[in-house]
Amino acid sequence: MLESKLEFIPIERNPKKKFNVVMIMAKQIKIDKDAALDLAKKYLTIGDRYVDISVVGKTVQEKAVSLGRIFNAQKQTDFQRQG
Amino acid sequence: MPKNKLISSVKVNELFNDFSYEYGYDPSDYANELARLISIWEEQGYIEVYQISQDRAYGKIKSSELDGNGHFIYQYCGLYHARIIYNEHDPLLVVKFVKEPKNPQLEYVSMRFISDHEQLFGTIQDKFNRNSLTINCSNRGSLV
Repeated sequence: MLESKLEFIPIERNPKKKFNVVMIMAKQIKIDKDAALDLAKKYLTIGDRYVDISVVGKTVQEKAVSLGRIFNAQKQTDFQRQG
Repeated sequence: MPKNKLISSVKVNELFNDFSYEYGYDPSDYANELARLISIWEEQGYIEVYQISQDRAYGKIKSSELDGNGHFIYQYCGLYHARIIYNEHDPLLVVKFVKEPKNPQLEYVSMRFISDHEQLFGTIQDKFNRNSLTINCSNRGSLV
């Protein structure tokens, strides 16, 4: 059950959140600090299962353009995923 | 004493945008600052890792696995964070070191997401209080 909640986090976008999502979940499901930290570990390591993308460009400006393209592509993917 | 970690390159995790938004940050707002950090790290071929605030400097990263009292938090093992903007406390860039698939002797930097001190480590009061994460002591053990 906890795993499924964690898997849902990257898809459920909410820019207005002001608090650590792990802490919110910990409060919601009433767990203690050890369980909360275990959740944090899982949350922070979800990215291990996903691909890392190279940044191209030699100058700072070129790298910034490359980053912008990557972020835009990720926004598109996120948008499609949310349907 | 800061230690140097050799790196082959810097890459962006596929979930960077999603996770950053989750913490309330739009990565596009920081593309120039992130590009500057990447340039520094790739040009020098290593990243300086510091542990005490006296060694802090722009371009260095700090291990996230120690709390405010220097206690090891195994759940944060392998995570590091860097200040994104020169002379600014927040936001932070969270990174990990990943072995190169084709050459495991080398490591690259995987950029994971943007966040800030309060969301990652709690308020200053929380940071120095290990009991601050205790939500419901009466349930301790029942769900762990």
